[in-house]
Order: sequence, then structure tokens, then C-alpha cells
Amino acid sequence: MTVISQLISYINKNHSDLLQALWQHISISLISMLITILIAIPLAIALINHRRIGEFFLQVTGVIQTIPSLAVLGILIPFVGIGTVPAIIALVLYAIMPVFQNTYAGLTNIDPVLLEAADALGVTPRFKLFKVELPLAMPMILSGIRIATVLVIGTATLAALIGGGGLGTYILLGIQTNNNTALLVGAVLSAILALLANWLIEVLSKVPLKRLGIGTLVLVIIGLGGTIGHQLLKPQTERVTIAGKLGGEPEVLINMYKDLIEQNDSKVKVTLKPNFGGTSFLFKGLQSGKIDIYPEFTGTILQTLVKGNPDVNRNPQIAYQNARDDVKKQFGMTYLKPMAYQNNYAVTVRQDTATRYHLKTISDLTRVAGQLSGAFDPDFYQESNGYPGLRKTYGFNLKSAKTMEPSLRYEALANKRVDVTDGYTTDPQIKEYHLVVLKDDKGFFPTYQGAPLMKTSFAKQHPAIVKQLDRLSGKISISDMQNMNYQVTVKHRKASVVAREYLKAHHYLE
Amino acid sequence: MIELLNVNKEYQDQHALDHLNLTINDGELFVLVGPSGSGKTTLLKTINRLVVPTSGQVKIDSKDVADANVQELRRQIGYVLQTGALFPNMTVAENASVQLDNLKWPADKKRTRIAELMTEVGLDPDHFLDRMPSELSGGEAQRVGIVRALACEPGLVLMDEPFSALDPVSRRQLQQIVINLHRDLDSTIVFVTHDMHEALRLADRIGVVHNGKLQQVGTPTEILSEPANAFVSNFFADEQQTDQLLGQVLAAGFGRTAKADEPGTKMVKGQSIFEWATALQKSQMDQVIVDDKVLTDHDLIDYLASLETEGDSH
Repeated sequence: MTVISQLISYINKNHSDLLQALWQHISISLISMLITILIAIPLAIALINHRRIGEFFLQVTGVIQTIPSLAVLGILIPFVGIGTVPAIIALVLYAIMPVFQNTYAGLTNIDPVLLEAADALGVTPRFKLFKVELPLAMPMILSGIRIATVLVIGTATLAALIGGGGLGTYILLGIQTNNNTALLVGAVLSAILALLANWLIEVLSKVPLKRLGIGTLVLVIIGLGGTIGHQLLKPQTERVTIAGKLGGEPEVLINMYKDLIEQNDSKVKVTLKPNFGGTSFLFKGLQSGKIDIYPEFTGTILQTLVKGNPDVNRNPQIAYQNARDDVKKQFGMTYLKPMAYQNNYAVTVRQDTATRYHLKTISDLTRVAGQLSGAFDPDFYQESNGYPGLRKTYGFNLKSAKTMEPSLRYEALANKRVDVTDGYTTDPQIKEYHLVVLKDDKGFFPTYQGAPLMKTSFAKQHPAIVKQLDRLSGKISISDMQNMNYQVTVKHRKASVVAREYLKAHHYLE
Repeated sequence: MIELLNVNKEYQDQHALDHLNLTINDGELFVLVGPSGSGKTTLLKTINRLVVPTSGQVKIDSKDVADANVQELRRQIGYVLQTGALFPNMTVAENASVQLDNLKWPADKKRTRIAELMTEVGLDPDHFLDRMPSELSGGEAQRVGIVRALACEPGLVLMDEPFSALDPVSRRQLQQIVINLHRDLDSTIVFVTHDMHEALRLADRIGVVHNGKLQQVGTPTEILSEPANAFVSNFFADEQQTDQLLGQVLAAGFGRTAKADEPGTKMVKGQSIFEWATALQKSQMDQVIVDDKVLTDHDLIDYLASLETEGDSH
């Protein structure tokens, strides 16, 4: 299939979701631009006659521009939570500079003779502003708005990282599940959107100011009316927000949570926020109450979130108990019982290598290591929990060992360019390439078991939800999870469908 | 009547206007002339408070302009700038009615008034009112500038070197328009220029400004015949040699008092002897009338001859 026909069939299959993401993207961008315009232009007008403060503001907006957008999102989450609000705030912060700078430059560079003429003819301050200064600065102002709009539409793809939705969802999905079609759809649509907006503003800039103002006002009133009406008509239900990290596996899990909770109580409405950028975004969201639940690993809690447990106990049960107790003590959170599968580091080899050398455990590898070459994820290659520690514990020396992009190392293994790589036990490629995971017989790798994390206050208020989520404790084997990841990441099936199939097949759902 | 009483303006210890006193009468076309940097424009701008004096008073009809609402004050005063300074975002009609808009004139009254003035400055309203300033020549733009200044029927019009950027032909045409408008309306006009020809041609009275001080105030004839000091005589010296005006001819004692209904082309003191010669040739008559004096063709020959002797004595 050519790229184009792949794109078309992807769009056909997902068109309602895509339309929704497109609409979210447009509304996030539009709201951000409206707020930006409402802040930046009046500010520039107010500062025309206060040049020193004006210059100061130019500096400030310039500095804001240099802060990486991910950092802005991270800073905002504890204050305003997740979703569209912090995304819009971040976008406004970015868009203010071009709009303010151009408006200010436009207003302060008007031919002084024209300003003197306006003064000498005794026009009112309003007349001077609306009939002389703003129209003369308008080309500059509009070019500022154009620059900002293109910038906002591009940057709005980051909103997806914190559950804001939009076209970035497809870009992230594409990156995570190695689905180039989804990635292209997201990227191309947002590029087209930016070009269209650029063109639209150019066209609108030729419409007289008065008509433009009236048009905008009408649109805003219709928009507000629609939103308020929609809010009022919505039935009163309890909303629960469940989020997940980037990737297919967390998305499958949170879809299971949603199905279990909603089946049990139809008055509860679960909102899913899949594909969050990282652990800290999610944890801050949980702390601030913007997220109610998200699945987290025991190892991650012990290594990144709580203090005093740098080493994860090799016994999964003890590791879970440590994580549960510490996160409760230090953050007032409840960590439910984990599922069966462990998503640990793993050492994998091809089936033929395993058969030929009779490899079952990592200890077995020691005998033949001198004949094998390895390729590893750069992080794994450096961390003491990774390759260096592994070598020391088991005492082997590979013929050669190099680092390789995580996405490429499985392919290199399958193509027999290397013989050993690292991975995660639930990676779908293990199934895809029929690889063998060597048993960690000396218990070197820390254990990562997944379980729902939530505030203790939430758990106390929602015992029914806790009971539903507990149904998964001790369930879902490694091969189950591998299979589901394979369905989502390699076969590009929807996480919600894969999750529901599993729940039905195992009689969790009627 | 405009009175400047002991008006002083300092910029960083420099006197732009140095304790200056001046009275401009109602209905007068008063020209402030001087080299660039002399303070003449600063002086003009104290009248509508675009410049606020460091000390001293400016009164219009005995009312101190410092006490007036500055926008209301300016809305009653016409103002013409150097380049026309039309707003590039408005049509000619919109530009011309800026003051009328701010004075809240009704639309039909505005339209009639603007059309009338456009015709008077030689621009066809049907052709010009909907044009944008970018489509006008310099002379046309400045004509619109004059229409804008006169639209609200102001009792006082201030003109700040309005023709300095124009070519000589447009400049002469516009000077004539100002002379005609001043004759037809009874507005007081205060006109700033660095061009002494223009000053002599237009002025009822001239104020010569130099170093922030008034060097001399008088009619063109007085200035030319009795310069108050070396600066004034130097400033007009060039004029005396090249472009002789009828005022100077009269001041030199030529001409006789005209009888009632005396025949002859009517001329003004500001016109040159060359225009006088042209008038004589065109009218096929041997005399012209300047105010209440008659100048004959013999006067022209005698005056030219007297210049030659003057030239020798120099």
C-alpha cells in the first residue's frame, strides 16, 4: 500500500475521532489567540505613552518565549491542573510576544506628522486611537497575529501531552505505537490548519475594521451561547478522570478501568486522558486533583516518586508493599494491588540462538557470551540497573556490545545483525519476532508491577470504584499483556477495542 | 485678536522663544518669516497649544488658551501642515471632514460644505472625494489639507510652511488660492514660511523672527523700505535685487493717488515688477492700480533706471 492510500484508509477508519481532534485543535488555538489579542493589544495601547515600561514588557515577553514549552506545561500543572486550561495558558504566553511586539512597534512608529495633525485638529482621544493610530498600525498588528496564530497551531500539538487533546494526540500515538500513518495524519493536518489560518487572516485583513469587529462579536456570542447551552443540557453525572502515560499498554489499562467502572455504575462518567508526556506530569495532576486515577509501576514509585528507596527490592511483593506504604506516608495516596504481569527489563535472544546454545536463563548466557554480540538502549547501557550491573552480577563478556536506538534494536536482532538485546518483558516485538526472554535467575532486575494509583481521599469516597479496580489484581499475565500490546502497537487496533475484548473473554464484562 | 504676552520657551537652556510680544489683528493674513531654527514654528504652535510656553501668556480674543479645553480649542482652529499630512487610511472626503466629525456636524451639511470648499481650491468633488491620499499629487494633497483646515469655518487658521515641499508652479497656484480664500472668508490666517518671496506675496503684515526674537513687524513695504536692523535687511537683500515688488516701487515714491473709477488692471503690493510689465502688455493700457495708487508705464522705466544707479552706488 502506498503512503497516500494508507493515509486515506486511516482517515476513513478514524474520521469521527479525527474530526473531534481537529475541532479541539481549532478551538484551543482560537481561544488562545482571542485571549492573546485581548491581552496584548490593549496592553500595547496602554503603553504607547510609557515607552520605558513598554520596552520592559518587550523584554519580558521575549524571555517568556525562550522557556521551553514542555517546561511551561510542567510548571503550570500544580497550579491549574491538566487538560486544555494549562495548554491554553502556555499557548497564550507564547503568542503574546509576536502580537504585543508588532502592535507596540506599529503604534510607536506612526509618522509623527500624522499624530501632530490629529492633535492639531483637536480630535477626541477615541477618534485618534480608532481612526488614526490603530488603522495605521493595523498591517503590523495583523502580521503579528498571523505569526502568533501559525505558532499557536503548531505548538498546540503539545497540548496532547497533558491531556488537552487536539491533533497532537495522533502525533504522540504515532510516535509511541510506531504508527507512521497516525503521525503523518496529525502532522499534516496541523500544518494544513496553520496554512489555512494564515491565508484566512490575510483575507480577513482586507475586510473593513468595523465589519470585522461586528463579525467577531457575533461569532463569540454564538460560541459562548452554544457552550453554555451545552453545559446546561448535560445530565448531572459524576465525572472521574483517568490518565495514562504515553504508549499502548497504559492506554489499554485505562480503557479497562473505564469499562469496569462504567459498567458497575452508569451514573459515573469516566474521562480518559491517554498519552501523557511523563511520570511527573501525571503525578502532579494526581496531586492537584485534576486526575483521579492513573496506572503506575511499583519500581517507578520507589525510584522516582518517593524518597528513601533507591534500590527496588527484588521480591515483587516486598517492592509493592514498600511502594504502597511510602506513597501513602509521603503523599497521602492509595496504591491498589498490582496485576500479575511484570514489565521488567529483560534480556532477549532469537529462537534459533536459544535453541542452538540451550539458553533459558541469563546464567546460561555466561557460557557462550564470547561468541555473541549485543545492542542495547543507550539508557540501559549506562544505568547501574542496566548493562554494567548485569555484567557484574552474572559475570559475562559479550563479543561486542554497542548502543542503538530502542526502536531499531529489535529489528537488528531479528535481522541477525546482533544476537542479544535488552527490552521490556511486555514488549509486543517479543511476540512479533518470536523472541526468547531469558529468565533473570539471579533476580537482578528490579520488579515493575502495575497498579492503579489515586489519592486516599478519592479511594475513601469511591469504595465501589476501588472494588472494581481490585478485580484486576493478580490478573493479566505477561503473555496477555504482550498480546494486547501487539494488537495495539503492531496491528494498530484501537486500545479501547482490545481492552474490551480481553474483559469480555475473561468475563469481567457481560 | 491674538495676543502673545512675554512668551518664553526654553528647551534645555536654549531660548526657542525669548520673551516675545506680538498682537495679530482679526482678519489679518499675518506671515511669520525667518530662517530655519529661528523659532517661527514654535511661535505658531503656542497659539493652539501644540507648544506650551515656559512662561508668558497667549490669548485669543482676550481668553488665555491655557484655560481652554485644548481639544475644543483646536477644533475651532484650522491647521495646515507642511506636507498636507492627510491620513493615508481615509478617503479625501473623510480626511476633509475630520474636524466636522469631531464637532458632530450632520452628514448632509458636512457633504455640502466639503464639496463647496473643494470647488474653491480647484478640485472637482465628484472626482476627488472618494480617492485615497496615495492617489493625489503633492499639490492636490495640500489643497485637501487646506479644505480640511477651513471646513469648520474657523475664525483662525494656522499654516505651518504649507507649501515648502511643493514645486514652484503648484506653490504659486496655492499661494493664489490662499490669497483668494483670505479675501473671500474673513478668517485670520497666521502663515509660517522661510521663503521671503512667499511672505512678501501673501502678507498683510510680516513678523520677522530670528533667534527666538521678533526682529521687526510691519507691512511688506515697511519691511523692505525701512528694515529695522541688519538681519532684516540682509534677509530681504536678495529679494531687493532680484524680485522687485510693487510695494517697493510705491515706497520709493513712485505713483500718484488714483481718482475714482480710474482705469487700469488692479494689482497688489506683493506682486513683482515683472508681473506689472506683463499686466501692462496684456491689458493694452499704460497704467495699473495698486491699492489707491496709479502706476504708469513711465513709472516702470524710471524705477528700473533708479535701480541701475542704486546698483552703481553699491
